[in-house]
Amino acid sequence: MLKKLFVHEWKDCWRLVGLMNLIVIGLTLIGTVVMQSDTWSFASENAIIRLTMTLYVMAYIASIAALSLVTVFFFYNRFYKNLYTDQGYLMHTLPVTQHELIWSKTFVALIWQLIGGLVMVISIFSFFFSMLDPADKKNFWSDMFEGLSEIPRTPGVAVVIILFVLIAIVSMFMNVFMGYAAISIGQLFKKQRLLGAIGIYIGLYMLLQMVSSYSMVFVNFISIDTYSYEKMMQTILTLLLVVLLVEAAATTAFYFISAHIMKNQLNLE
Amino acid sequence: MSALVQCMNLTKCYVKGKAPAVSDLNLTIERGHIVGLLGPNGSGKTTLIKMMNGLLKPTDGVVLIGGSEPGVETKKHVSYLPERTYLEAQRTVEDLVDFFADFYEDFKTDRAYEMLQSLNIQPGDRLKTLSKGTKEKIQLILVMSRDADLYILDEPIAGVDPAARDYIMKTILNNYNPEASLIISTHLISDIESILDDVIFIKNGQLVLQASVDEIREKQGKTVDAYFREVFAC
Repeated sequence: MLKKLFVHEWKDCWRLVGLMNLIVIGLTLIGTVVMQSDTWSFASENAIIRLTMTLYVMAYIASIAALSLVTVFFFYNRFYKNLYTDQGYLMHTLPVTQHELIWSKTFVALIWQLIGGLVMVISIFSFFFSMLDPADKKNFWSDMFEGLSEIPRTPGVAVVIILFVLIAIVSMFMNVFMGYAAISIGQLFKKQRLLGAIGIYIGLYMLLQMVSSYSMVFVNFISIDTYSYEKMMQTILTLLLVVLLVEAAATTAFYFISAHIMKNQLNLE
Repeated sequence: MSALVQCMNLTKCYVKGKAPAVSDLNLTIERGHIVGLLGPNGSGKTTLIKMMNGLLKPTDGVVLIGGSEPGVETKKHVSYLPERTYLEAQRTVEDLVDFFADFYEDFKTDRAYEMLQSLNIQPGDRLKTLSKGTKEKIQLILVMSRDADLYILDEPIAGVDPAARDYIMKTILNNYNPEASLIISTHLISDIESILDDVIFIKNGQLVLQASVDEIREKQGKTVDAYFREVFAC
C-alpha cells in the first residue's frame, strides 16, 4: 500500500513544485546565456538594458527564495490538509497504517527537497561558473578534482565529511518530521489548530536550538585548542557526533509523536 | 445471523469532566439489515460512526466490526460516506475512480463509471469545476461502488434537493451488497423510512431504542417518523 500511497501523493504534488523548479531552471539558462553577452550588462549605457537586468536579477532571487519556501511549506500544508482537514476522512479510512501515510508523504517531500536543493546548487554554480574568466574556466575542473583528491590524505577530514553528510541526511528527515509533529500536536487544540501548529513549530525549533547549544557546551567546544590539529579534529568529531545523535533522537521523537497522535488521538473537525 | 457490529459499553468523552458524546452504549447490528441511526442534532450519531470507522478512539468500552476493533483489516470491508466533502478538489473524476480502485479490492470500476455516465459526469471533469450537489453524488457513487460488508452513510441526504434525494436513495438501494448491512444516519426520517429494516434511536449518546420498523408499526401503531417525533419531543 505504501507504493500506492506514494504514487498518488506524487501525482497530487508534482505540478506546483515541478513548475517552481522549471522556473528556476529557465531563469538560470537565460541568465547564464546573458552573462556571456557583452550587450546585456549592468554597466550598459542603455537604461532599458540596465532595467531589464535589474528585473531579471530580482525575478531570479525571488524564484530561488520561492523554491526553497515552497519545497518546505507546500509539503507541510499538504500534510495538514490531507490528513487533518476534511480530506482526512478519506485518508484515515483507507486500509493503510498511520506509518504508511506518514512515510508516503515524507518520501515525496524529501525527493522534491533533494531536487529543489540540487536545482538551486546547480543554478548558483552555473552563474558563478559563467562569470569566471575563460582561463579560470579552463583550470576549474582540474583544480577542483585536485583539491578533492587531497581529502583522503588529510587525517580526519574524510570522517568529518562523512559525518556532515549523515547530519545533512538526518536534518532533512528531522525538518520534515518536526513540521509533521507540530501539525499533529496542533490538531489536538479545540480551535485555531493551524495557529497552534505554527506556535508548536516555533517552540520545537527553539527547543532544538537550545539542546544544540547545550550540546556544544557539553563537548567544550568554546575552549577548543586551535593550536593542536589533533585536539581540534577530536573536538570537531565529538561535536558532530553529538549533533548527529541529538538530531537522530529528535527525528525519532518527532516521527513517533505524529504516528501516536494519528493512531490514538485523531479528532477530525 | 452473525453480529457485524458490536458496541460494548462504548463511551467517548471529548473533554474530561464534561458529558460524554457517547455513553455506555451497547448494541449489535446483524448482517443483511438496513439500519437507520436516528437521533436529534448532537445526540452522538457522528461520534459513534467515527468510532466504527477508526477515526476516533473510544474513551472506554469497545466497538467491533466483524469481530475486530477498527483498523486496517476492518477498513477493507467498511465503505464510509462522511457528512463532509472529503475529496480533493484538484482531482479529476477519473483520478478518484483510480484512487478508490487502487486502495479497495472490492471496488467495482465498471459500476462506478456506469453510474457516473447516467449523471453525464465525464471522467475528465475536475472536481473543483462541479457543483456541491454533483460532488456529493460522486462521493456516494464511489462509496456505493464497493462490495463492502458494511456501508456507513452519515447524513447522505442532508442539504440536497428532493430530486437529488430520490437519486441518492435509488443509488443506495440499487448498489448495496444485499449480504451486507447498511447504516444510515439522518434526521430526515420520512425520506428513508420506506427502506429501513431496523432503527436505532440515540439521545445524549445513549441508546433509547433498537427495534425493527415492523415492530414499531405494530406495537406503537405509528410510523417511525411519528414515533421519533414523540420520543424526541422538546
